[in-house]
Amino acid sequence: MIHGVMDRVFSLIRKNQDIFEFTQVNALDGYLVFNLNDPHALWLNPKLRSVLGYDPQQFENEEHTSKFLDEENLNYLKSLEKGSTRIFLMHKQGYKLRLSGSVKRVTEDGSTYLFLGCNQIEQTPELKQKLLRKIRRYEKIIEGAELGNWQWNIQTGETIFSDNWAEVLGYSLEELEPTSVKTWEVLAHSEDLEKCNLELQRHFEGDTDFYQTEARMKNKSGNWVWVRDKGKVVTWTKDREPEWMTGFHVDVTEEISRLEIKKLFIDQAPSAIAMFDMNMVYIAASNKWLEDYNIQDKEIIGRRHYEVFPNISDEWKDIHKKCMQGEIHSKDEDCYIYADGTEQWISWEVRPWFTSENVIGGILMHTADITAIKFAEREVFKKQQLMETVLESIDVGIVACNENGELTLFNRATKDWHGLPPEQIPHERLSEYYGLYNLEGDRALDLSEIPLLKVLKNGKLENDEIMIKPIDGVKRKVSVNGSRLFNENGNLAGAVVAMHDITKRIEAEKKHRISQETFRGSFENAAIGMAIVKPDGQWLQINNRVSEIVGFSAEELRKKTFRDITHPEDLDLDLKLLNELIDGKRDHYHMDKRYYHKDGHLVYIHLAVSLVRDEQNKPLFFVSQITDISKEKLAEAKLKKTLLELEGLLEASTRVSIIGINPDGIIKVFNRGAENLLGYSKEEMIGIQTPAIIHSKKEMKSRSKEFAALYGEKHEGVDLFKAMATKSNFDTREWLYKPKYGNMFPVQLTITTIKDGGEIMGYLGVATNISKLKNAEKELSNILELTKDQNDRLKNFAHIVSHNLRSHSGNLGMLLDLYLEDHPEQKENQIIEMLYKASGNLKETIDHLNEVTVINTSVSETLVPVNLRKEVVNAKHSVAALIGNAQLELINEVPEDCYVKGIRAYMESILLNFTTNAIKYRAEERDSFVRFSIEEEKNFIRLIIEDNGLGIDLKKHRQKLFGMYKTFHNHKDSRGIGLFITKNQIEAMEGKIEVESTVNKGTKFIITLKKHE
Amino acid sequence: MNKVDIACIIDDDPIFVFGTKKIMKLANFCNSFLVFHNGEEALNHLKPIIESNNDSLPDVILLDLNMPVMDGWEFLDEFIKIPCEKEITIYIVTSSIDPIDMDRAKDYDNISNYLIKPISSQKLQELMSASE
Repeated sequence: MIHGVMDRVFSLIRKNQDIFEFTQVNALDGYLVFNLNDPHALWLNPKLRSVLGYDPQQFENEEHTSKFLDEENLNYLKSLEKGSTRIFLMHKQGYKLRLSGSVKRVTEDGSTYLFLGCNQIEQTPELKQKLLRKIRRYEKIIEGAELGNWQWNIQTGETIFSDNWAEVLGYSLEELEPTSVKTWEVLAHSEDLEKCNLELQRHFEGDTDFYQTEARMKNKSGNWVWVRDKGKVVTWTKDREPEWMTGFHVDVTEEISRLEIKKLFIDQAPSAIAMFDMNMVYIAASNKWLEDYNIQDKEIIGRRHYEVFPNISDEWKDIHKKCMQGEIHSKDEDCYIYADGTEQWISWEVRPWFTSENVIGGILMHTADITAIKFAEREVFKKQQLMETVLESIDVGIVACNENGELTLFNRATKDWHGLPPEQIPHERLSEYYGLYNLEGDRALDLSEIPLLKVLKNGKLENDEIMIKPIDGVKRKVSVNGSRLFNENGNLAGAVVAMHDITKRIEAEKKHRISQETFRGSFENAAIGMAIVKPDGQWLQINNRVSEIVGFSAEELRKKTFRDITHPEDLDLDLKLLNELIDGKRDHYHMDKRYYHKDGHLVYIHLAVSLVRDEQNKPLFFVSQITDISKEKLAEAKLKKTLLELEGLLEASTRVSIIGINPDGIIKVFNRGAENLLGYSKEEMIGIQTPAIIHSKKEMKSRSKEFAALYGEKHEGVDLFKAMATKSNFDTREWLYKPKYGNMFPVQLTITTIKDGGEIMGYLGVATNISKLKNAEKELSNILELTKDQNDRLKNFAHIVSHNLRSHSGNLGMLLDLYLEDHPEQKENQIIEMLYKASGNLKETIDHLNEVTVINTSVSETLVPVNLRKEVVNAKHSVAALIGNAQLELINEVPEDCYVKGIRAYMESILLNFTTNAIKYRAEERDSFVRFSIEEEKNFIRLIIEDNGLGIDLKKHRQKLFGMYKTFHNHKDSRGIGLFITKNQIEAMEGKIEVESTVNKGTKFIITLKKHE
Repeated sequence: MNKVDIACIIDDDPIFVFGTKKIMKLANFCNSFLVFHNGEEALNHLKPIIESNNDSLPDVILLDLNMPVMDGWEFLDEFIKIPCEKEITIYIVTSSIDPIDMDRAKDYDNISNYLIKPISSQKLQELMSASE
């Protein structure tokens, strides 16, 4: 594009003769061209560039129009078509150059280009003079002000220093020549160079209107002088780079050094102080300041306060301003809350400072961070509040007084207890007013006894116990502690007492004492031996029973340890257990052991020991309970001996299980029979097991219930056996035994106690296997069941026979009767006659059957006493005629008071039957008799009926004797039903009948009946 | 002899009924018969007669125990509940010699006697003379 413009210009010139001539004639000092459509860029030929102070070599560049033409001149130019004119173009140095020029326009391709040819105009001498004068005047001013003037071309480094500039540093200008910017750099303090450069940069970038700085420079005599520099860029390059700069410097050493002192003072100040100039620029700040505001790592000197702290409030800025006008502001505490919520408390002061000329040079700020103090104060306040709250809320009465004994504190508890608010009462009336009494509550306190006053007067007070007895209110026993109060100078300032309510404690103590006494009482009189033993084994306290057991008095025992009286064989185990107790492995132990009685014999005891520890868990003492078991031990020994004696016997029985237990239930005997039966060995059982192992739990439970129902005592496990045996010397019943292997089996078990002189030493269980017996019993009961069943069926059958056959035979008989009544002529008919007879026989048979059935079905439990003798007499009367005819002698030898249990009708029938039998079967060839006599047994009566008749051939007939329809004689009256019914009747009365007989000699029936008591 | 007007026989055995009727006729025991074959039949017939206080009520009832449908005991239990002004003599006539039955018969006031079958004319005459 750039080239494009230049090329276009050259092409225009080449094409256009007019333009060429124009440039040759009217542009002696060069020309410029711009497009009217785009007038902001223009092109200058090398000649014009040089005239205007630019590098002619850079001609290819297109330039900004504004660099050369101001708005006014540009508009003017644009308005010209052609011809001559005067125009101002800007020189690179910044001034306007007046030129004469000619304008020509050329249009091509729709664009109009304006050519301006320039001819230089010589400046008038007048103008130059004017300028020179002006300059000289400035110089004079500068000189007069003793300002060291300087000019500096930033781009080239060229400098122009005035004489004064050199003089400030004690040199003549000549001495420094040739001067350049280096001259300054060399003389300036290296530490300040950076600061100066920084300021320069800020100025170049337009941040500051002026460059102003203070820097140290070395003067001719080699001393550092403080120089204040102030300057300004006056010309700029076309790239807006600063070109020429001018300024001056003055010596401010004195001013600075005074400031330096102040600064030094401030730097070293222990408090936070900062010094600012009138622009609020930091001159100095103490380390504490940096620290307090957390800006240690920042360079703040030379920077404005508001720049360091951008958030500073307008309020502060106002304060700063006012102080710069001479005011002093301060505040004792001020709170700042930062964005993160932290608080900072400061106390501050701002005041102006004055230069040597007594002019305000700036301000001094003095701050103190009191946050910590503030927080501490707050803590104190909080604590105070807490203390007050505590004082008011605790149930400890707190009273304080000043050094004169006037009440200053009287907390809530105190108010409640006294029932009164604090009042200044004369000391003499204090006791009366507040109800202060001695602990017993029977006497008001003297002035000298009032705790608060006592403390004030004497100093410390500990656990003084008094009673507070308000006029109306609760009596309270309190324990008072107190101490004096001193002020910060160590002078007595008063006293304070704290009162603890100990009413309850005293009561508790009283109770404790009582319970202790109770304990002592029960300890002393306990039925078992009790002792308290020190960890080293020494007896501490021994009750009476212990003395009784071991024969030593308490006094004697206290001089011994338990080791001294323990049987050496038992000591090891005892000590082992004791150590385990001390080590905490167990919390108690018990063992059977032996003591030596004072007499020298051994005492068997059961010992139970527990350990009491103190708060530090250290063993305090052992509590031992000692039971005399000598008797038991001796009994056991005896039992052993007895059993040993029995052992041979026990071992001999291989089918009978014999198991012995001691009173604790432990198996002590387990014989061969038991081993055989149960499959356990002696070794497994003796001393280890209880019989519970061989019994069914279920059975034990149900037996226990039965036992409880019977005796109202509940016994479980082995205790049950013991209880059973104890109840009645021995107990025999069926049990189930549970062998080691296999199924349970029934046994007949007898449990007995083993006694020695009335004392039970153990129990013995003797058992036999009754499995076979049980099986037989079972079979029997099955048979019984079957029999009963059959019997029932038989009964039923009999009933059918008796009832139904009866009906039919009755009908038959009745019909025959009726038939014969209707046809009396048929009476002689042989068949009818036989039919009639057959019907009669059937009826009779059925009647007999009925009799039997009736007997069988009426087995009654209501047997009544029957007098046997009377019954015999009755029978005799019944058949008196028959007896008379037969000339039979009836001998009744039954005593009068003989009663049996029976049924009268049956007895009658039985006796009648035997009597008639005796008549029927008498031996005609001899005098006949029948004798009734008895034999008495414990529960039975044997009735003996004896005759001297025909007799029965028992060898032939015994089996059939009492059968139905058996007759053994060819007697006309024998019907064979009598003995059958008799036997049935006797059995119905729960009796039995036997017979002895010899043919042709006689018969003897023996009837056994139950005796009536 | 006090002749009975109406005799009632409650029995399921036709032979017994036949025989008894015959014997009674021969003995001139009564004027007419009422015969039922079980308790229920008898009850159904007798109940309305009793309630209407009719003259055709029997003077004597011969009651069998073992009967189908409603047996003698059941009949008795129902019969005695019916209020009746006329005195009716009830005889249990059964072949049962079971003492339980005999005992039970004693519990009923209305029962005059317990007769074991069969009934002979001789027995009947005893009865007639007893009720005189």
